[in-house]
Amino acid sequence: MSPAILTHLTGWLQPASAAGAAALVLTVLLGNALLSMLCAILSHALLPRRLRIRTVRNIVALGALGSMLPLLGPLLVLFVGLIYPRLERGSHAPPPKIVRHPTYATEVRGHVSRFGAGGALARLRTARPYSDLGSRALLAIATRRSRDTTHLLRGALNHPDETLRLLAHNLLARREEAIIAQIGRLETLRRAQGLGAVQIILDLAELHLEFVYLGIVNGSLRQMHIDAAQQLIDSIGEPPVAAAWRTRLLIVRARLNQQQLPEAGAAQVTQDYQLAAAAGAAPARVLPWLLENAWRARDYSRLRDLLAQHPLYRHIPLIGPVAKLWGHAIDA
Amino acid sequence: MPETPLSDCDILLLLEGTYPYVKGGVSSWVHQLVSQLPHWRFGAVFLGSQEKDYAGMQYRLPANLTVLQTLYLFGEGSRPPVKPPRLPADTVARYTRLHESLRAGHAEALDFGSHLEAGDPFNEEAFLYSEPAWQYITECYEANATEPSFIDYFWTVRNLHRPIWALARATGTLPRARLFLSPSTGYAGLLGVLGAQAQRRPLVLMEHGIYTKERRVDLMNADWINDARNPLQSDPTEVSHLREMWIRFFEILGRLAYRHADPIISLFETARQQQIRDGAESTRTRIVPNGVDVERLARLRRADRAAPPAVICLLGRVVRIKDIKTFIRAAHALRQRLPGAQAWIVGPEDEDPEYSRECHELAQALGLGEAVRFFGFRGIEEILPEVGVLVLSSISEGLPLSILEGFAAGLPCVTTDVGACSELVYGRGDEDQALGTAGAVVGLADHEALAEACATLLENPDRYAQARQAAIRRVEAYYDQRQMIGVFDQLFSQRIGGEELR
Repeated sequence: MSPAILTHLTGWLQPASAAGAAALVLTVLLGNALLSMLCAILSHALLPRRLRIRTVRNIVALGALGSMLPLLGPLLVLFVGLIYPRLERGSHAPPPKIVRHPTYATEVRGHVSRFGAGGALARLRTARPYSDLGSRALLAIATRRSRDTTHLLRGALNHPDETLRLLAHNLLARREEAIIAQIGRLETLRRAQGLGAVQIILDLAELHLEFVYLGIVNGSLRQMHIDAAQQLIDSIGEPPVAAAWRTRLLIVRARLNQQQLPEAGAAQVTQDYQLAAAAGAAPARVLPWLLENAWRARDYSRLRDLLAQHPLYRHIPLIGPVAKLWGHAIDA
Repeated sequence: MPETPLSDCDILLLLEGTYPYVKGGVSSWVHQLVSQLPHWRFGAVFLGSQEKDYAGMQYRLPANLTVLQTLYLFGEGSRPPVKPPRLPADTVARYTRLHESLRAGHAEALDFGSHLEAGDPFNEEAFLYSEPAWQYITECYEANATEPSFIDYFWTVRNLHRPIWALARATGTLPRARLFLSPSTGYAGLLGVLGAQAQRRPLVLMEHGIYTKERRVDLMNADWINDARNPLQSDPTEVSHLREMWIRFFEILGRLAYRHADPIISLFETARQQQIRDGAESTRTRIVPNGVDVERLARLRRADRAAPPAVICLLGRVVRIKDIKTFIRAAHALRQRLPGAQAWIVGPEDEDPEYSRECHELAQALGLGEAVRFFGFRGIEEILPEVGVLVLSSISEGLPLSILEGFAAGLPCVTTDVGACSELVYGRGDEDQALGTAGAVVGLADHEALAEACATLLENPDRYAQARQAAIRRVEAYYDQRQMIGVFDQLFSQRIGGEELR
């Protein structure tokens, strides 16, 4: 340490030169603050682009923090700037409001996981426009015909990336065309077989309900398909008790009620399904609907009861993972 | 304009699947351009798939369209005899270099004059039947292919190359021109690049849609590309290798055209940005919006305060990209609110007969009866005066002439939010937006919103009158064809004049 500095410090410690000491402290603090501010600006530049929000506020906050500790503060700010991007690599950008969660399934995971509807949703929400990620997400759910993937495709119709919009539209059209083609084939068969084709009528009613259940139609067309299913069922009339197709009719009726009745009618729908089960319908044909009803009503105790009655469901390949997931939700 | 005796025409148009054999927006634009510039001599080369896919001439050719050639890329042309040629020892290395250059967008690699000569490794006969070509394809398969069988891969490679030889042969017989103009990239763009290089002339690219983007979506959904992945091999997030090859092929064609064209024109800003993302140099891009004959169409306007008829009308081909089904569903929803409303579809139905049949069946299934009418192709002069609101339900558009024609005829428009439609309805820039809203914009495939917007306009005379006025003012101020024609006239003079001075 040079003698000049020692002299200066000695002078500073003496009360007589308090004014000079104050000036020196102020100078050091000011220099420290300026240095901190410079480091804060550098740190901000090091942040990933998606985290560079509220620029002025962040720089001022970092600068202020750094200025508290003489000399060490600015270095800490710089250090934070270097490691912060690495710490944040696994975090998630604020999702854009283009593709929203479906209202009936707000539990759908909001972070990237495997490619179910949740994973695809997360990718669509976070993908930058014109990157491949969005198209890959849509292609991944192309063959997963479900209500939530239809919702996702419909949401993607408003995506800013036109390629994604076109792809989503095409995939939706394919879903619709697949059902229309089946209806066309069944109508031909029905005409060929005459009035006795009860099973075909039930197939047709189920296909009309599938339009509604999968969310492929909405508005006035939704009601049109419900009416078409109703007319088909009415055309069959009341089944004899011994008829082999009676349980199936009861299930279709329950599905119809499920679409027609508002949420308040969940109890009625559950009763319909139970009636079908009591009439001898296989549990595999009834239970998924009951489980879904209970889940949509967020009636977890009912879910627990249903799964307890049929523990095998946890081991069936398609339903098992869902049953397990619900089981965890219940346990939690 | 002084004619050069050495040229067959001044401007050679390279038209892929459009004018004069197919009706549509691009064809209308070409016809308009040629007709309105009688002092230029135009030539045209029509590129099609196979002759049987086209019904015949759809337009009466203007007198200044002096040359018309047709080229079918997938026709039953003669194949070279199966006779393995003798090739130089470095053939495989040359194949590798050529493909690498193409991937990088260097069209100089495609010196087809020499490639067509006997003994050249890239000659069609050599690539189809020589041992080095087989060796090269096999090596590429082993090095790059992920899941397709070798047979699928081999035939895909051959099919990818097949149109290139057809285009290469056509390059030598192209009419001599002073400037090449292509309204798309793809095969037409490639022919433009090759022709312009061979004749040392400038190439102008005027994209109405973005060809590469459209092909990308088509190919992602194409059923004709075999995806042989089994469930264990298949990663659902990955596009299959063969699909990827086709997509990359068209991307390369796009980059080639962008690299050699000057200027690269688009219809609106979003399209220009897409071109830049696809490889166009921004300094060479520019925007020239479409325009219509406002003076002629103004004669179709109804009196200012006349009540609009409850007729919604879609002007366009009955094809999937126009999403006619959403329009029909909207008609169903509209009739719940306005029981007397009618929906008219005015446009040719022969391009996609299967889709056209589905549309008729949908109208029937919805019980719309006479409320939905399919007119086929009709002159707009007899249709537009009877229409209340023009509707566009497309899933992809550029800057649609049909909206501009409707505006000029005093019709507000309800449209999906595609291409420049939003700009047309709301205006671009403060000055344009101050003219008012000329209708409504709704989301894709949202028939309820479409019907709601139409009903709101038809039921509210004040709102209708405001939209109508905004439509008329906007088309008069910004989309008069004289402006568009003037820009192209000047551009042709500059590019041809500049080229001849060199």
